Amino acid sequence: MRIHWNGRGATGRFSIAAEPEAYDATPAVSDFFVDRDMLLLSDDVLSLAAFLAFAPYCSGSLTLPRSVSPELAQAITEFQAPAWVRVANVDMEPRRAPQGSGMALVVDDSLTFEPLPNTWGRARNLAVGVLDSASWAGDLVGTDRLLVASNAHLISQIGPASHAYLPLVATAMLFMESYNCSTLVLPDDAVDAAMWDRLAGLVKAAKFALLRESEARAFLAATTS
Amino acid sequence: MNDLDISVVIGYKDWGKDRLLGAITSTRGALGDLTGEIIVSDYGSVEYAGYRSAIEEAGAVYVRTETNGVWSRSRALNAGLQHATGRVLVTTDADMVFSPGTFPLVFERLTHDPQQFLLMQCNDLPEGIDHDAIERGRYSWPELSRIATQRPRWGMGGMIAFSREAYFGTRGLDERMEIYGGEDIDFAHRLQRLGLKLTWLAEPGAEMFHVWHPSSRASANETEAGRAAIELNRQIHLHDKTAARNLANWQFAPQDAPPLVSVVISTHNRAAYLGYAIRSVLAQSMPDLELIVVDDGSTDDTRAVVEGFDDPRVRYVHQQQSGIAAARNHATSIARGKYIAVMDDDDLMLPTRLEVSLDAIVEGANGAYGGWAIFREGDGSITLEPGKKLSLEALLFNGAVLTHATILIERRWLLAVPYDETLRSGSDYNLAVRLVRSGARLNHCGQYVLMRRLHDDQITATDPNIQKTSALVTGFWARATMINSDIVAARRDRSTLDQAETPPFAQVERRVVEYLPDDVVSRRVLVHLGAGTRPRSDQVAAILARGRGRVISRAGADVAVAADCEVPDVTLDELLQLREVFGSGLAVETTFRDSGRVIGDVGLSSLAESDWRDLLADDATRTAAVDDLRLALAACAVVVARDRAAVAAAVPALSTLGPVFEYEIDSSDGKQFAAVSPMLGDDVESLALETRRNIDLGEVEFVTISGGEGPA
Repeated sequence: MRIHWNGRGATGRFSIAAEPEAYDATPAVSDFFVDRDMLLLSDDVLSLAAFLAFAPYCSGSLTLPRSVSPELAQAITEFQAPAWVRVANVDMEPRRAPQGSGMALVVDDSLTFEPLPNTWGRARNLAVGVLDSASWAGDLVGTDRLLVASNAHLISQIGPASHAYLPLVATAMLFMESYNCSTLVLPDDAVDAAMWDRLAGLVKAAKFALLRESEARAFLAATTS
Repeated sequence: MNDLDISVVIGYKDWGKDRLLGAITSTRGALGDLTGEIIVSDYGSVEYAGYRSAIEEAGAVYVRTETNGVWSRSRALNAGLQHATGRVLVTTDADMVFSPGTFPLVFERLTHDPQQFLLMQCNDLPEGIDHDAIERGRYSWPELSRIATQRPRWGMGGMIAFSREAYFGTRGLDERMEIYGGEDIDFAHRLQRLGLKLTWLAEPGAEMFHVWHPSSRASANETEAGRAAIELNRQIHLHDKTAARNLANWQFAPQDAPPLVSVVISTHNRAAYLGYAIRSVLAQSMPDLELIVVDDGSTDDTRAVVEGFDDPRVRYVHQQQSGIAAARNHATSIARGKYIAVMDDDDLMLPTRLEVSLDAIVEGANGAYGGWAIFREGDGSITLEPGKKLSLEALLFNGAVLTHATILIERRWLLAVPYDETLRSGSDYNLAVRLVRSGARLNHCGQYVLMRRLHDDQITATDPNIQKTSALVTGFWARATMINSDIVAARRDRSTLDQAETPPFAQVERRVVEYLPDDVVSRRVLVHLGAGTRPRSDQVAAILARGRGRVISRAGADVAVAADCEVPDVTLDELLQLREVFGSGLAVETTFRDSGRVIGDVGLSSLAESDWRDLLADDATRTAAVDDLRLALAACAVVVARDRAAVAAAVPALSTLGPVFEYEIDSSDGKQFAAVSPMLGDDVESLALETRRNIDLGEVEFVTISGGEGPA
């Protein structure tokens, strides 16, 4: 699969597009859209988000939007096993990890949710509400939450159920650096245990941490009291 | 159905019994603990006596297909897969051997992730190691592995495994393909287009070996027919980028295969138009469809109109009036097709709409649409709307991009992005915008696919303000991400950017005027008897019986094999019935009642001489053609008697005229027997006299009937 970063398009939306190669499936949706721009500093973060959007369809050679670290390439291969995937663009040079120390909670298509608490003097935490772009357009930005329309919801619905949460994770991941976040937080029931372990390997390789929502809230409560 | 884990299908023609039994034994050993079946599909082997019992004794299912002698691996495998009941399906050949444990691993992998299909790399065994040697244990599996040489990883005929659902999506291997070569790669690429990734199964303990034999590919290359077949397969694979095949006729469709397309009509009090819409759906050249008519609280004869169609493909659903969006969503929820074709109750589909739309679903597209011809009730004036290339910019800043009733789209998309039921009007435009914003890709099929009726009872006529407001709100919402410069750029050059290529007016007009209302035009139809591929009904027989027949071809000196039947004053309803049976085997001459202007030509067959030769070569077509002659030929000679033997004695004399049809007649004074033969010549009287002379009239009655009298 060749996955491209298209940036801002003619209708003001940002997109990542997948182009199948010899062993790949044709994706049910070949463009992954989000309705606002973001601050992207790490090539690994962009490439991991791109992979997560199209993971169920990848087999064989995989070219990501940016060259990735060997550890992320290895994590992608392990994530995709037993299907065989080889990342074509790997950069062996050590690179800077994404900066920040806040947490980012992923919320699926909801306008009303409880954001993660923010406390004076502590790292800022974020909640990313991924809205269905078939119902919503554009974005709403706060200092502790971001609501952004994306077709991630559609990609989830049409793709295999086992991978349904990954496009939502991809959307949130694109905005983590914009808010200086380094820990990705998923609702407790977002993915099953097997997928959690596989996803944790990927997130770690991109130099982020992964927590369940109950763990994150407990940690924040314990460390701010 | 689907009660077994796995079905393994082996297709063959003219293979030795011992090799087949060896392949069955090997395959059975590789099934392990799975519940499975092995289906051996004999595609017209010359020698087959005793094969069924031997194969069944070996524990496999034997399926035989009678053929015209031409080997087709595609059709052979489809014939076997037609009987397969496994959740996982595997195709392989009789010269393959699988190590124990292979198929449990195949099953486990596909159950874990059905979004893939599996291939295995082939290991060639040297000459001298056959099935028997392997089964007798002369070589251990590690020894076989060491001695075999590996083939490159392309060319996948050895084994391909996929889910049952995936197979239904493909509609089988391409049945146009002859002999073999390319059908496997073509099939694999089509699975990829359906969203399955290719995975090579490369695990210790799961290996596939090829038993040596002289190259059959080399022998295929030695004949002109073989080379032509290989080239045909190559051309299909190179140029046909669709996923679903065998559209007009899937010869070996499994019984539980769902329809490829669900056509959806939601209707409210349009009984006067609905029958035509339904007829036009049933007359599609791609017949593998279901038609769901959702009656949204009609108070007129809608139910009676729908239930008047004696066709199992038609499904009628009544609901309390909830609006067109809710009705369409309900239809989506009960549809079974991979695709949904939207249709309006007052329009007519052109006969190839579904076929050309499916052909346009390539390069990752999720659906297709096409141009539409608008006709005005009353005067029949026609305006063509070619449609435009679909994009969000086109929908927002250009008009007449598509009309909703030409859309054919994957059902899963309409499940994920349903119609907005809060919109009383304009839910179709709203849906198109939301689909495109969600990333749906619909290709323009390059053809006109719909006749759109313009009348006074349309929503655009009765509810224009609500429709405009709905469009305004949808447009405002969808522009939320655009800044002013985006809008300025998006408005630029739209007529060039969005242009879709469609045939010119003169070409299209000729094809669409025949579907104008009966009060606007009259029609004369030339039916090519024998062209039909679907069962005839009594209604179609009655239409043909009004016609005047003529034989236009003979096979040698005796047997007529094809004929034309010219039928005057054909109504639109009748025309659609004829289209359903005969497809493109019709020529139609349309006359405008007001002006007398004539379009079309029924005077000549549109089939070339080469087409007739093709008909001669096809036994099925020959049978159908001869069958039709009973209804339509100009004149027949008939022999009638109470004694069957007496009639049989007259048959040789009748057969000098042409094909002879024999009947049993139950009349009020007892059973009679008859033999009928059409008289195929200019001088019918001389023919009758000559025939009469050769018949013993002491035992039978001899009569002649003239043309146009219907069935003898």
